[in-house]
Amino acid sequence: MEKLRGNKTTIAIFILPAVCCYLSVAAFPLLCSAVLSFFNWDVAGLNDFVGLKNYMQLFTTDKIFQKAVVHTFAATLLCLAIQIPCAVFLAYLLTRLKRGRNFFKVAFFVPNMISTSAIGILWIFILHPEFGLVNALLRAVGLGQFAHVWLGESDTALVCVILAASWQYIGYHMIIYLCAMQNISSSILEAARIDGATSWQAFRKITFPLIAPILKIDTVLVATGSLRIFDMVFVMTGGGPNHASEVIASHMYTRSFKGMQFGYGSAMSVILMLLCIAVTVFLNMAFKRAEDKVE
Amino acid sequence: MKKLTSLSLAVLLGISVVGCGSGAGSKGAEAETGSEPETVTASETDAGSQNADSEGTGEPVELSLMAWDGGTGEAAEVIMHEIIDEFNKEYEGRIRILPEYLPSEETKTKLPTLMAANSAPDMFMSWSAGYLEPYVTAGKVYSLQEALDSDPEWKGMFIDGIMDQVTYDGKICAVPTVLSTQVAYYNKEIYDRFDLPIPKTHEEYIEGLKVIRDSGEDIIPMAFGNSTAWPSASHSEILANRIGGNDPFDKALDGSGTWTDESFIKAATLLQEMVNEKLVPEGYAGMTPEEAVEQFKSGKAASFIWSSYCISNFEAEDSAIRDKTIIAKCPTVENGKGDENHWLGQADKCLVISERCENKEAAVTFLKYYTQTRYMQKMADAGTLTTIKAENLDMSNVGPIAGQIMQLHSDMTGLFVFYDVVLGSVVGNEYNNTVQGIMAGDDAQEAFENFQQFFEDNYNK
Amino acid sequence: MKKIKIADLIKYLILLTATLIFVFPLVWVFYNSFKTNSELFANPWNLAQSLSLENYTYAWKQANIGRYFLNSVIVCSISLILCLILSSAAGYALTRLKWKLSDTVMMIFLVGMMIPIHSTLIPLFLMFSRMGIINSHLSLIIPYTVSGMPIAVFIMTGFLKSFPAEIEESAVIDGASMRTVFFHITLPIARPSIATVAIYTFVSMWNEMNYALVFLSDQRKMTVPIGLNAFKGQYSTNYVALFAAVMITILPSLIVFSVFNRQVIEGMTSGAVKG
Repeated sequence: MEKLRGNKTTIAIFILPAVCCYLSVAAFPLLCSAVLSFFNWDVAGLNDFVGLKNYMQLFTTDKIFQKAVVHTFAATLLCLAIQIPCAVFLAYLLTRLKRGRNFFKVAFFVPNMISTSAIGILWIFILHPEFGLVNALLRAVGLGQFAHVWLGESDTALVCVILAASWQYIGYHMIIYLCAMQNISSSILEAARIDGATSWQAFRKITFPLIAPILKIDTVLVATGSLRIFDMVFVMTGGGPNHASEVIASHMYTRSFKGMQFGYGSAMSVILMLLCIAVTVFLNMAFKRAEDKVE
Repeated sequence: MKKLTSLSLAVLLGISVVGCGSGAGSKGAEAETGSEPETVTASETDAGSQNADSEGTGEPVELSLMAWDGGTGEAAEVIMHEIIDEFNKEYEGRIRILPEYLPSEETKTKLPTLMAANSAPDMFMSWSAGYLEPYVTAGKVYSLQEALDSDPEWKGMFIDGIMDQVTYDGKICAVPTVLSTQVAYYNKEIYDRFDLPIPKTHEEYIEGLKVIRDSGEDIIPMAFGNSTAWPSASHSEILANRIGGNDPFDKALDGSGTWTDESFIKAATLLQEMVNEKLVPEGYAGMTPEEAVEQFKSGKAASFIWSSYCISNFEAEDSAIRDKTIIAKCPTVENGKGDENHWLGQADKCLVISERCENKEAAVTFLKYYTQTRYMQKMADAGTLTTIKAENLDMSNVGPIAGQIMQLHSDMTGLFVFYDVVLGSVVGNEYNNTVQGIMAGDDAQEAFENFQQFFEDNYNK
Repeated sequence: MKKIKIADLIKYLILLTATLIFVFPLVWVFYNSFKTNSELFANPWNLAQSLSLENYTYAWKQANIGRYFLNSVIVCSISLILCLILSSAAGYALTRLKWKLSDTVMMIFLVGMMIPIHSTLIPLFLMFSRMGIINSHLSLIIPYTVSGMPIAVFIMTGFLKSFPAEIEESAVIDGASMRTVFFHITLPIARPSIATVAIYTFVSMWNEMNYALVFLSDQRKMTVPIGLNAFKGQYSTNYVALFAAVMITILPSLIVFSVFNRQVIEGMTSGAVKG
């Protein structure tokens, strides 16, 4: 058995096609852009090697970038705080359902099937200051004073974009948790119930520990996804008003493609990647610690 | 150093040409054989044009063109399709234009990528001034100076001074086809009903708007939508020019003055006051400029200070204000140094030939074809302002609104260009954001101090 | 008994509210897609006065969605199949086979989930134009396949790890080769995760815009999001047609989802029986 598992030809056949494709089409271009972040690179081509200048500039003079970093972290925290609890809760409710599980599953997943630009437009409508659904509802229940120009005010723009993004992804994460929860044998839960455990106790003592590995993976997915958030911001606010919803990826886009400062943009993408990696490592450590504590 | 860096990139990408910056004719990155003949790309056109060196053997010269088409049915875009189709018919067997139609916003990602990869299309559409400048500096753009000089008749067709916006280092690098200026639109019906004069000054204008606001009728005093920041910026640019003339901007640009000049600050403050006085729609910050156009077009708004590009839209069948619109020069500011005959605007839809285009002569032929009077007349008839002199056009078929503006243009003594066009995307965008922030309540002094800092850090780098 | 009923009621109430939140906007787009523009502006919340398909025919013709649709189907289905084959094989190698570098390779794939798309745009363009495949569907299939891989590998390995290898081992003891085991045992077992991957990657491929925009220039080869986006320039004046276009483009995703959704359930029940 062990010998078969270590058979070099078999391993090569299984892993090499994927790795080769991946390295040449994803890793290699990325490496290029990482190297180019040390250059002054614009439409004219490469000019000079500037060392860490691009990076220095990001952290010293580029106030917008610094703002964008703060916004990106805020967005990530918000996404984690909204998407994961909602997804777990909905998945949990679905597992306890006798009928209609499939209907709800499809319903919650629907937003994932619409392109981000369409969702963005849809939410622009929902949040429209004049005939938008949100303001209409507020006025209808007599809370007109809480109506806002949601995407046009700096206090609300980013939050609204995050809500729209969460709306899109909750269903997806819910499916992940649902899969995990359905893998839990029902006899264990049944046994717990017979022993007199409440639903909450059963969830905490049985379901939660069993979905913890998936929770860990999903947290990483949500975090890295929201750190890189771009499309939704781009469609809904373009980073505005006055950079109030600017995130790293949108700033990078502006500088690279509108300002044609490709080297500078590359530096930002490198930082964004490093942030993603750092957050992943941090989350893994945090989870490990929590696990150790439980044990 | 340069050699070293290009070498390292070459090693990295396995490509021998990027970054040499010579611009012209680097073919290494171009497509090789095996591409289907009927599908032509930026990179494949070379294959096509090589055949074409021997004209008359049946293979036409193929020229790729990246053209703007947002699908809005804007007159200039519809006519552009027509021009290209007719050109291809007329030059069949000799030259073939292979257009790629994209909404102008989309070209903002695509063109830089193609340029960086040395695969720019043979011809492309562009904005003027600061937008095109990096490409010109990088040697990616073919100078049209010679072609224009050798054909005085063609050169003489264009409005005096329009070429200034596409002239770099004394060389004209593009042919603008459309002119857009900022004008004041008034709904005559509403103004008459309230017995208001068409305002000459900003102060008068505000007085009138207040009357309309206080009437209690459901009329938007000034149509406005600022979700994209540049509407507020363009309005502030007019006011700043009316207050301080051209000097403050010129000086801020060359470094002898600053952006904290009173005219900029006061202009933005005036806009802030308009918001505080509720002279613009309440949700303006969340509305797009297109929605503002709609507000005026549907007759819901009393006035609108906006670009002339939407005249064709206002003259359209479904417009509620086709015969009720008065156009005027943008109001002046009391005690200001500016002149009402200075217009804010830009030369738009500029046609550019790439340096790497192999058949520049054929490309120039196309530019001449495009700008011929026949088509410019068509655009004018549809309410689009063109870049050729009015005397070349027959005014009898021009619509009611476009006719007014052409009349007003005849007094024009100067044209100043949108700041974000002059400043280039990054700094220009920041100016727009600064004004947007002030309208939403930021302190003007502080905001412009920040912008001054940003300008110093980022302009001309 | 009564108590349970109330709990059930609350459950359904919560779920129905959630359904409303998730589905209503889509329903809203759907019924507004039959209105005229002025009807929309007059009252965006009521139903259309008459049922006309004009917006649909307009969107189909004007935006040339039919053509884009076919292109998208071609590009996405090929990419999806390639992605599934490559990444399930990789997932198998990473969990069931023993080799030194497997942790490193896994790490590299994980990093792939963190790549900001815009940073690879220019290098890839250079690479593809060097290969002469710019403006062909291949220039989309390659990056789509690869960009789906990290998350696919991630989900596959996660699933396979949680699934005991005993069945496969016993098959090997019975004399089956590793390849037979992969195709006849592992893949069927991994069906739920393959379905999850398929749904997710298909949706993101179907909606991808940046590569398509930059790598293609021939109108006849463009994909749906580009068509939709060209249409968006117009949405200020013609929202309702845009809505119709959105509805048209959602359809394939819905079909893929419902097909694979059945797969997920089947996979799960069969897994449960075996387990």
